[in-house]
Amino acid sequence: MLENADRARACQIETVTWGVGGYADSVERLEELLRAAFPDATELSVVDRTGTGDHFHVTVASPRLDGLSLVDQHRLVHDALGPPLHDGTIHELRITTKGVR
Amino acid sequence: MTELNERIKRVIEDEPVALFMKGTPELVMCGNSQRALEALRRAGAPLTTVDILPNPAIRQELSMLSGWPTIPQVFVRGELIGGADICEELAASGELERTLEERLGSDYRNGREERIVSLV
Repeated sequence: MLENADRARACQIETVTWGVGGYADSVERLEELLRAAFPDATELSVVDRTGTGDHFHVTVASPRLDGLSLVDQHRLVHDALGPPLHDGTIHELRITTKGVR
Repeated sequence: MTELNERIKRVIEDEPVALFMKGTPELVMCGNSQRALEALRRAGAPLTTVDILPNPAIRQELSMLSGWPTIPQVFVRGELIGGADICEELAASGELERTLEERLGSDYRNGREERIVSLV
């Protein structure tokens, strides 16, 4: 059986490149990016699942997601979170999306 | 087009259900790959798995092709279904089985054994 640390390493998306600021800042940064992409969201949250500022669960409910497949809904969230997804801030991302209709 | 790119495309297009994952079904290296694998197995999907860990280029080429940044990635008849969250959500609502039936035929649970494709 694998050690948890091995699994965690294998799950990482990119090499870690920490910017300035602590863990709370990365939650705030993700929230800001999501708010900018979904200004009329009826539900929007970012949870730091591990308390380490790199494993997140984001939830978005927005009219912008109405009528889209789950794949297309998640693509919009990926687009909104492009910078932290690609600069290594996000090691793991869980997504829950909903339309509002 | 690189050769690797073509081999990834061939898996996506030729396999009924392709799961690109970290590790193998025998030795899964990431909880998210495990979640997708379990959801697909519960739905009885005729699975083909590809381990992306042996060569970082697999992941890069795959994400370029699919436009999807994270692993796992699941394709049914060449179309991206999503990652672990979507697989679980679709499985929970019964939609995963409906999708498999629609695209692979009602006899998709034909007892075909899981297949592993190596891209190394």
